[in-house]
Amino acid sequence: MNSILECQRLTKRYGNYFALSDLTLTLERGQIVGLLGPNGSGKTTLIKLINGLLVPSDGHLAVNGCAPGVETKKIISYLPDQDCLGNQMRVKDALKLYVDFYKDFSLERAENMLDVLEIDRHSRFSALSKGTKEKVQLILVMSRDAQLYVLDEPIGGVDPAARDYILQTILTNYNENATVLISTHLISDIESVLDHVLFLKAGHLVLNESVDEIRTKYGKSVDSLFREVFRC
Amino acid sequence: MLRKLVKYDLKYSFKLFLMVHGIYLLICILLRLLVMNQLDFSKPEEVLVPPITLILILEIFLLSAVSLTTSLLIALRFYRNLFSREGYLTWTLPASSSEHLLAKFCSGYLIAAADIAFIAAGILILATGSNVAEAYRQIAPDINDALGTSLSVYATRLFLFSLLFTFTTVIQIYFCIALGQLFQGHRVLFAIAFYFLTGLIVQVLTTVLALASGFFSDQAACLASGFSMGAAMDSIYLMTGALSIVLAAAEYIAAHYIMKRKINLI
Repeated sequence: MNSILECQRLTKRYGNYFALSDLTLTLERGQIVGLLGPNGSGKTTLIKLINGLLVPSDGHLAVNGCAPGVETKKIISYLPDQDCLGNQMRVKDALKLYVDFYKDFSLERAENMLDVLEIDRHSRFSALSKGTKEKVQLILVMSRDAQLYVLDEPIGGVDPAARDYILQTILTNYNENATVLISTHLISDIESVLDHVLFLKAGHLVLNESVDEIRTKYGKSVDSLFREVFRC
Repeated sequence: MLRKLVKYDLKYSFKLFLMVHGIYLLICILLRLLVMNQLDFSKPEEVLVPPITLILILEIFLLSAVSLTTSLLIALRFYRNLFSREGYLTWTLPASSSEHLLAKFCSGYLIAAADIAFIAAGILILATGSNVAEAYRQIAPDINDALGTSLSVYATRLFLFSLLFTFTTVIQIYFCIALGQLFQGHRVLFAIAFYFLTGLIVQVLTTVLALASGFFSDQAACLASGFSMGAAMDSIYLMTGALSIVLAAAEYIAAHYIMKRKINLI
């Protein structure tokens, strides 16, 4: 089976500033990958490139063997790091939108998760708290049977109790052939669920190893290694 | 996919559009019942001028407000849906940039065309009372001479022209917003500036074209031998329309390029 994501010398430049530089990377299927790095390291740029929200300045990127486009959008489920559902929308409208546009969306799964969290489907997003909005967005994203889930800071803005729920949701809702790419600063919270990690520093890939390799090779946790690599 | 995108665009704009245009039609009906129908055109000028002036000012104000609201509705939907945080969802739907632009064009055109239809309906409500029709009959020959045809034929032509060419305004709005979003810190400001700039370019080019084709000297000759305002207006509309189509085609291509290659969400 081919890899889910391939980047060859991928570069994104804004004038003289390199947001991402010469990045070569392959992600295999069936794993949870942590995309880790400090602010401005290029995490969101890489995520935007994967989702076709930016066009590379150089190099190329392929998802399931295809350049970002309509076909790749059908198999990527993306959670942006900000609230992207219109405030005038109701939760049920968002469900309808996902049913209409994504063939792989499971309404039943989404409704079950909403019921567990006791989120009213008639509520407008403008009336929901930040944490609840994030949960609804995550429910929508994880209710798809996607091949690649790209989650940008999924636990950044929520309390520790909600973090546990979100991680649990991620773990229980992806199939074994799918890959989950999670970008976050909160490494200690997600370390236990990661299979593989990527460290980005100033637009360069500085580490690309499995969590087991890190523990045996460096004798450290991912969090400790991160603090060492990115010490200010 | 295109149908779904258009459906969602129209669904978003539907309520506000109907509310604004419903209020407009209601005011037109009230003005007709309370003011227009009460006018007695056999009365002296001093009695007729104040209410007619008032109603004209009010109608111009209403038309401007309704048209501006419609343009803002089209512009805001385009900007919010594609270039604000909502863009993170829109651009990751399984649709191409061409489909997104075409869908926005279709929905924008349908809204703009419906706006023109509502405006025309409002004017018809105001101006079709029996007292107005009776009074108009007195001056119809002069108006027909000036227009070169009957008022109803001329108004129908103007309505169809507006209905047909309103797509150029929709594309102009989209182009300016797409161009404005390239300027990260001042997206809205630049979009508005580009809108006025492209409007100015159309005006200047129309004037240059009119001068170069001898349009003004032809009209002067017409004036000497029996001037037809209708024919002159038709020439101006055709010239502006042709120029707008060329410009709209260029703007559509440019907007598509920006949406395909230069998207940069905040």
